[in-house]
Amino acid sequence: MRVLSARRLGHMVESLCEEVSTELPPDVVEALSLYRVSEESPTGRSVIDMILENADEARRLGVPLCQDTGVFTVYLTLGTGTALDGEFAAEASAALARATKRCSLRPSVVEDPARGRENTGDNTPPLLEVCVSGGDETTLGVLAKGGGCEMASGMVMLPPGAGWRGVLEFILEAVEEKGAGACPPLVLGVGIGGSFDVAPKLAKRALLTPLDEKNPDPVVSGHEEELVEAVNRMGIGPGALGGTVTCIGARILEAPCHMATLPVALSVNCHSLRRKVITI
Amino acid sequence: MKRLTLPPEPGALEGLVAGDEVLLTGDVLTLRDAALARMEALAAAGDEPPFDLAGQLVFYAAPTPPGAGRPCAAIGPTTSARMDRFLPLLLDSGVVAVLGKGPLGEEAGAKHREHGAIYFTVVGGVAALLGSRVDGIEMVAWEDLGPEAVRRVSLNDFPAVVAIDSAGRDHLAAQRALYRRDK
Repeated sequence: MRVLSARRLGHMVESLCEEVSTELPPDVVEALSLYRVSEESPTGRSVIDMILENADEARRLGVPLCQDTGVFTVYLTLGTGTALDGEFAAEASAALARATKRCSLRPSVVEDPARGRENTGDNTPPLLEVCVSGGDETTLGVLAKGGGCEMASGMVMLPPGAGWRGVLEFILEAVEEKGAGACPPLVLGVGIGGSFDVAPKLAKRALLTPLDEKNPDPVVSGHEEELVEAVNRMGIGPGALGGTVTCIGARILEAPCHMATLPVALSVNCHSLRRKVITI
Repeated sequence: MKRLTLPPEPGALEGLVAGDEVLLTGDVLTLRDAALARMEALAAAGDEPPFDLAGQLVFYAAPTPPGAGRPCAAIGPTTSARMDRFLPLLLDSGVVAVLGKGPLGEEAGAKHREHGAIYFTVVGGVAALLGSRVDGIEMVAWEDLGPEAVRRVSLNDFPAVVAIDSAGRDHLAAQRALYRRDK
């Protein structure tokens, strides 16, 4: 039995929160650079240049990539025969509070959402996703997601016969309606199946998948490409200033579901896809 | 590239046309969701907010705390469409321009035309860069709103684009139509 110290994990969470806030992941930088080449609008290309320059500046100065430093989700996936010792939720929360202070993160979390909306002052609590894996590997990940792109996200319970066409239609309608205000070029996380509560979790977790890793299922890989191409025909463009690059990646995760349902969720992310997963 | 000093002199906005790239220098006020909702509640009760918006540019923003020797480590626009509900209130209070990101709702063009106001957009998610274009920040009102409090921000060559001009022309919609490939 491998026993992990919650305190030690907390220190890792702290480092991850700081890193994702100030350093754009290499696969995102690469995707932006690749898509810059195909951007037909000169303004669109200069917006992508600004985004890349911003990533350099944030890394150089250790300042946040975006003033909306987001809501933090901490993903802990425990491998077989691995146990946790200590209060992980409390350690993760304390870690986020320390990172908030040290990196000048904006406190963006409010309590009593439909009442007083009092700011918690330190971005706590983080959202926790703790699960067990079927394999030996234990991983720890952090995703920091801004409010603008979160507001463009959504979910729907489709009739089972809607199929991929129905899924595609739902996603394109959502991006059409709100994508321009969500800081394009976007990354789309899509969750298909599971249940009413699982599909959105899958959609968000899909954002953790590296953009340069091809989906092992050729059909799903084709759907991901179809989605990116369809969104890039919308004309929204980088910074919503018009152009042919509105989306730089789509990642789909699926799960079995009830035969009467087809749950679909879309988690829209801005170009500042701030996440990192480490194996521990 | 045009330059505009803020708050704008009377008549200074008249020459700006949708699509113009403009460097903004001078003082703006930050107001967004929470502060605008409070302002709306005050207006409904017949009260005035503790600041004067006449002639001002309102920036839909909530900066980070100070960092790296800057008044704020990072600053940038929030989604403007969320503030559509408050646009008439702002324009009726004398606001001459707003600054945010993304397209506004369908009625915004007519509202801007009616008031001769400008909607500037700035690229979102490049807040580390934009942080170098702020000279100072001071609290104006409603400190209890935290990041969403009303602040006076002194901009220095802050890069913006005229998204809707005082004639109601919509640059974002025009550009989008130009690059649209699915219709």
